[in-house]
Amino acid sequence: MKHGLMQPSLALVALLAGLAPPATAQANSGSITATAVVLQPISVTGAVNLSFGNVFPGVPATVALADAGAGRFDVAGQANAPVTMSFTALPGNLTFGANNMPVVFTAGFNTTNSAAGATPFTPASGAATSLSGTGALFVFMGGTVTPAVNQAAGTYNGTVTLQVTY
Amino acid sequence: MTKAAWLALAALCTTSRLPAQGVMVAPKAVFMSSGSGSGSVTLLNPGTDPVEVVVSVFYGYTATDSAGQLRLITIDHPDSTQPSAAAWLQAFPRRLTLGPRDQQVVRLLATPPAGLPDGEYWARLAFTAKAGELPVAGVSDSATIKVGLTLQIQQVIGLHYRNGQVRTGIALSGLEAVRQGDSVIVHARLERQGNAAYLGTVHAAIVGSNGKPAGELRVPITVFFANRPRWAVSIAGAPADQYRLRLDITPQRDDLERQVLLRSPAVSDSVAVQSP
Amino acid sequence: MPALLAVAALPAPAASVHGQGQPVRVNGVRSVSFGTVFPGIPKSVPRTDALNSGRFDIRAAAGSQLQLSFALPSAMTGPGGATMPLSFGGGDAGYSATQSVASQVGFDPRVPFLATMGGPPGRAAVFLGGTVTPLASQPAGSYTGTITLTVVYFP
Repeated sequence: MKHGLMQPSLALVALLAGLAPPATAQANSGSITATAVVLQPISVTGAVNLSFGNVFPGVPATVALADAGAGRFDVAGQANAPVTMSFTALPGNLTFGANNMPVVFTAGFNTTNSAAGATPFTPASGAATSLSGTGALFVFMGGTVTPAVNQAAGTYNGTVTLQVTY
Repeated sequence: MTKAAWLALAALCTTSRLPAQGVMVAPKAVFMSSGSGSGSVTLLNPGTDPVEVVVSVFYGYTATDSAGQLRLITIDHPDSTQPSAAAWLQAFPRRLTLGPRDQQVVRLLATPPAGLPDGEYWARLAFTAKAGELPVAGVSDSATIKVGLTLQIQQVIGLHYRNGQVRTGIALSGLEAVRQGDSVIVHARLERQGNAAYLGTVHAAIVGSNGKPAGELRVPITVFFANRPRWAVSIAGAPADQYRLRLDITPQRDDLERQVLLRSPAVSDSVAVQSP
Repeated sequence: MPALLAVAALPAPAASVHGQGQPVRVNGVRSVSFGTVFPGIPKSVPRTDALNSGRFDIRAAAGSQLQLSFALPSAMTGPGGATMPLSFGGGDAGYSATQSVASQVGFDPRVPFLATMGGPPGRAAVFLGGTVTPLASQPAGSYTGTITLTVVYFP
């Protein structure tokens, strides 16, 4: 029924407009652009946390760079770009209130995600290298905590800062 | 101590995978000039958790140490002989929190002193973000030792403020090349000319006696004063031969926009590769 | 009969548009602006973004039927001919018979959509969002793409 109503109306439109009925529907187009600016960033992300696992009084706990518990930072930037890295303000102790627990850190870097082949460096002294041909660098971090035989129970904390300079 | 007590003292911490915490920073170096006293840096949090970022400004530049490795030299209280822009450069905001996938622009405003001599002035911008916290996990017992670590990441980029006429160049001297196993170790002295840091690219090519290349290296360099860098050019698998090193330094950089590069003549030198 | 009268009442505005030789007019008003993007990090612009969504304005007879169809690029082109994937989801387009970004009917820009013009003065807007997915190795620089909206007018 609706279709039936449309036919006379179309004829009427054409008639009143003084035009022949269109053979096909008419169309018009308009365009816009999509725009974006891709930046060339640098980034360092904490990928895996350093984890000391079980800690027993009087028993030092060590995480080697190639251990599963080693920490990892991923550096990304331009291919072959030189970077320097160092761990600043490294704590000598982890603290729980007034209680200290000695800690030392180790570090290494590699242009592939493999701690086994990493070049070791002294965390506080830092190191300089270049990103890989794809702009990648992996920094691994291990360490040793040395709880005393009478180490007070508690949650020991410290802050470690990796500084990466471009 | 009983075995049970030992067990009670154990803090069971497992390797924790972070959802890539940190912050992305662009560009990798900021260039400002007396013509436009403002600049900006864009930060993005690629992770799934909010990241708090602290922005700081200080004076520093990179230079090589005795081993030829690049180091960041920082000077807390630079004297008038140092071209420091740190004292008159401000970043807004200085502290911000980026939600997951959030982007924010940090504005930089320079208010140099009147009568500042022509030349380039430097500062370093540091973006410090918490990279994650070692979750403290373990036996639910008050008599345990637990270890938590807060990891922070500080990304440091350079800022160059150009005032008036600036010019740069590079002087190359003391080129040395020594074969060491599968590599050729290259040392050279690079002294910046003019009154602005030199930004360029080093191309080192090792060529055999037959004229064929055995290895090459392309490295972007920034020389603030003078450097004596060390580069290792891999020639893995190359037979014993009389090799020569050819070093070309051009004022071009793939990682920086062309308009920030100052013109200067390319320099080159070559030297025979020594056997150790 | 009331239905016939209502349809018959259409010719006046339609005739005026016809009189200009264009039964329907489409103008690209605003680009879809993704702003700055980081390699490896997708970025979306919602169609409800009053500043960054794309916008087309349409003029046609009030109450007329329109078919909206997009020619959507699958990538934007950048420095040295580099391409960056660009995609559009099922709700990335919106039609507003009142030209208001706050009052849209969402539709899928990948398939034709039938819309009805509102009352006089016969102006509508189409808003468009989208998602750009830069590769991790996406070369830096400016990227652009062209999006075309074709409006078929059923007189």
